[in-house]
Amino acid sequence: MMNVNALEPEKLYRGCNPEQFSFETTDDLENVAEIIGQPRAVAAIQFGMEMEQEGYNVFALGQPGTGKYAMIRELLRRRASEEDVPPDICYVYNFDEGHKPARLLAPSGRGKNLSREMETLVEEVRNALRAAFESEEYQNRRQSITQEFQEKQQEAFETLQKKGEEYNLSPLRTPQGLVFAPVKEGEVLPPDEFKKLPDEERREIEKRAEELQQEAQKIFQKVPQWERDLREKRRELNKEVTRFTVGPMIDELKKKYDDVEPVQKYLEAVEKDIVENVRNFFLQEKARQEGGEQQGPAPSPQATGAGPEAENPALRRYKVNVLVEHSKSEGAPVVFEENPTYQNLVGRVEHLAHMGALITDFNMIRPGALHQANGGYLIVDLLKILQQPFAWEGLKRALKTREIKIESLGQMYSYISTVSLEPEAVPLNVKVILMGSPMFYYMVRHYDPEFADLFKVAADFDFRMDRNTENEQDYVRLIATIVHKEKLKPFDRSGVARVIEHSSRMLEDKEKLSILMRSVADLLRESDFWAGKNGDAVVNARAVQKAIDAKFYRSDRIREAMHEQIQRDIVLIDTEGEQVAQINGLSVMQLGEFAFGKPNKITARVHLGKGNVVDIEREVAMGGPIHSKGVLILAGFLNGRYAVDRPLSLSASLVFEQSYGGVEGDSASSAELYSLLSAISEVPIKQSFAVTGSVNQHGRVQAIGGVNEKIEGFYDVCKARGLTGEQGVLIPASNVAHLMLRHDIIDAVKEGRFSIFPVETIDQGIEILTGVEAGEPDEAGRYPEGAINAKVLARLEEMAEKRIEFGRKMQMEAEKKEDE
Amino acid sequence: MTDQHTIRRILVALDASPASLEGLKTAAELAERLNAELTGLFVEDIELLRAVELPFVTEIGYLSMIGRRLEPSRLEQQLRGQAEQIRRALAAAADRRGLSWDFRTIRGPVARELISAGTEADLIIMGRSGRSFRGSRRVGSSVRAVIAQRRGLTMILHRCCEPDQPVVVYDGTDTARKALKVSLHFMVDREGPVSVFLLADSKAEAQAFREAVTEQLEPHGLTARFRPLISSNPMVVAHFVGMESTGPLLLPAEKWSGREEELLELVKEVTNPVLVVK
Repeated sequence: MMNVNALEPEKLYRGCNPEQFSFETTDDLENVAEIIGQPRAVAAIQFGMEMEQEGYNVFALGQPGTGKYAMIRELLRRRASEEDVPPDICYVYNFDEGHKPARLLAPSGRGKNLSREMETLVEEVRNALRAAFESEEYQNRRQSITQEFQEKQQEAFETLQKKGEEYNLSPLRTPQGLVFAPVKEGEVLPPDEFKKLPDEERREIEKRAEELQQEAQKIFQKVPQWERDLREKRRELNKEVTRFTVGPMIDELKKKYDDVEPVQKYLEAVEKDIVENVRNFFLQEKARQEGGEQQGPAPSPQATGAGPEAENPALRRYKVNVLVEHSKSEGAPVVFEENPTYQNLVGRVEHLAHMGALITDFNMIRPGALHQANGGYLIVDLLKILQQPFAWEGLKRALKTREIKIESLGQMYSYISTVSLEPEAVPLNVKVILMGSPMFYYMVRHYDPEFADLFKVAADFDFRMDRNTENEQDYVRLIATIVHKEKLKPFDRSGVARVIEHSSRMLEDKEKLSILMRSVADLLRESDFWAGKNGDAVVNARAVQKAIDAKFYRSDRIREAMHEQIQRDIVLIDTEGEQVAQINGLSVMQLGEFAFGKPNKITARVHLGKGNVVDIEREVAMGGPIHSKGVLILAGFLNGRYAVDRPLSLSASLVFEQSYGGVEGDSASSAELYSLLSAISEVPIKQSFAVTGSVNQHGRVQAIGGVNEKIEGFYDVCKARGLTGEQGVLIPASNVAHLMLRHDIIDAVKEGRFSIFPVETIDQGIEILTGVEAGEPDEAGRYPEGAINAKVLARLEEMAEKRIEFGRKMQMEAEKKEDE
Repeated sequence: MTDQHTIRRILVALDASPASLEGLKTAAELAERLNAELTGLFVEDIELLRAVELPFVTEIGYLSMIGRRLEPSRLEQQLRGQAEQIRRALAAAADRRGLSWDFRTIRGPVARELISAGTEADLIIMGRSGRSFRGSRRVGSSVRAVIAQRRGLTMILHRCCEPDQPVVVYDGTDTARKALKVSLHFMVDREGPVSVFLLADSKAEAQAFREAVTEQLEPHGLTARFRPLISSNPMVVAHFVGMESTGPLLLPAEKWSGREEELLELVKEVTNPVLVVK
């Protein structure tokens, strides 16, 4: 017999001794300044940040909850604070092409100033212009222009009128023009009287009337030209006055920005535009005059007394729309776009419904995250950006062209035909850090050929770190940092130690610590809650345990229901006695974050056959491929060990009894092999054991996942029925490193009421399960009598004989039939 | 204020000229303020109708600038069109303010019909240029006739104004006292001083006028802001009135009795509406 000893209690758990820590509570600890446990990812991000060439954007891949965002943000913040503050981004009116607003980059903080100063300028210009146009000088010059026109016109008409009086012909206005009629004593000569006049006199009147009409016609023809001249002269005067008024004000502003060339150019354009469109300044006042006679740009005295006025739409063109301003920024911006829609990334042009139409102007251009992050860093979640229509393409286009171009989606796809704007593109200089799970990273990399060009740096975030003394100390500080940031009650040493222990349990590995920060932070928060419930000012191990237990309880309904079915013998599980060809396998069910183990009865049947092992689960399509592979390995093992010189003349069937939900994984393959060996050898298996572990073709037992849950699942069944001291679980020896079992199990092991056996080979396992020696083959390949292997071999030989015999018999019968 | 100076009926002369339509706005505003009845009057000029019957008379179009024969029937049609246009403008202005109004079309000599219709009204409002040449600053012939012949209040204007901030020329005559009383109609909320231009020959006379005005205004809780007028020269008056206010200038006509041409010159020069008080 190979003696495999049950594991000592200390092998079942790696505790964390609170006494090793020098602090009393986490309040004694400083926050961690460095990033813990992610050297690879940190190096990648730093590389990405420092590489200035195109395309070295970063993809941070890691499981959700690894704390990627906080870490990236911290790294970026540190670097960004040492970098230059980027310029402010403004949009201004394009005086050449109104629908293509011009970008204006002003040194950081000065965009906002410029915007304010432009508002003041417009106000001052308006007042100055008002004063200028009301000035006596202007009024006199204007009056003299008007006078000139009026005199010219009056002179012409006076001459005509005088002539009319001389001729006794009076001008009379008709609705559409003018007629001349002979008058007598101030009244128009009635037609009858006219007819009575001598022919000669009549002809004379007609001739004179004709003459006057022609003259009137000539004057009428001249009037439009006079009016044009008048308007032109007034315009020139207005321009001149405006230029003199506005010029010095603009010059003063230009001086303030003499180091910013684009602003200089802009102000020059503003000056030119004000001179050309000075009427804009008085449009509202004009409107208020309710159709008063046009008096040039000069406001009426009524309007001058008006108080603060509503915004004059015509003056919006002199505004400066500051999209991004950095007056309070220190260093380069770090922006996280929570909702990366297309518009939130590249910006948008808003519209206003006005009289049933959508209107807009450059003041309604709104920035996107790319504008905000320009000159710095932008963090975006890959999954979120992929879920938003056009957003991914928009981001890539911006990164490729290195400029931000605001394009309305409606226009791009011709959904709407409203006139919109084409804002000038803004040069883009940004590092984008995409975050996502590894699956998305590999998928996008595979399917999007542009991805590799744009995101050349992969920062791979680990979810675990080695558990050694040094790391445990770091981990403690990490816990303290979260406690401080979340403003939780301080954790004492016992509490911290329990968190560290549970961290290993979360990973199912004594040698590792979880840096899935979400789960750790959840545990800390929940422990804080339970400590508070208990009235404790400090979180201790008891509170942490309560948090773990409470979370387990919250998720535990289905496990409990399954457990109950076993207790009520609805699902048949034996935990006592012996049975041939029947064994307790162990499986794990994963429900979201919660996993639990449960025993399954596995049975085997053998009969004469061609050497195949039938996996009933697979036959009914309830077994996954890994499970099927495990079963086929069994056939390999049987053939290799027992049927080297003769064919395997048996067929076997294997089944998970009362399994209705499908089976996947190979962790039951050792259990299946044990039941198969029991079925062939007809040696019974002790039902007080449960087994987990996969097996290879050479009969070596290999590691599986979920070992803790599996042991706990069987222990709970046994405990409910009463521990006999015979019960236990066989696990692969290589899984011992993963054991982080519950304390009640460790206590049961200590008291000798439950055992866990680390098994390396099938032979070790079968001996424990049957109490019968497995047996080593001698030189001739014969096993000692009574050993399991001998029994298996004997049974197989017997079956082979029977098969040969059966074959011979069949042949004879066939020959006999032929003879007949 | 006595009943004699209460404005209950306002007659506005309308001929579809821009000036007369401006007058309509002012008339409606004033009628609303004084709760007065508003009558619109359109006179189909008999002279004009007579003129187009003459076979040789040709109309020169303002816009077309060509001469063409205007048939009497066509003119009548056009006049009816104008009347309708005016009626609509009047209805709109009056209805907006909830005024009691009526509109009349009369055929006859314009000035005579206006004076005749004006006998029933407390105030006539009419455009300054009327049917004169476009662009001309002449005072229309109808205005001349009405100013010369009408007794009562006549307002001449050439653009719309808020009938606020009146300026009264005070020369110590009875009509000046009347003008001062009438000016109270134009005081919005009866607040602020009344602008009074004193037309006096001597300082002593000016002082006497001041006292008379103050005394007259006192019962109404109003004060006056005095400005001495150094001359009754139309240019001078026009200049100072323009500086003082955009509201109506109340002109007592007594002083200009027999000097109508001078009065008309003043009406021509002042850009504010002029209310001739007789």
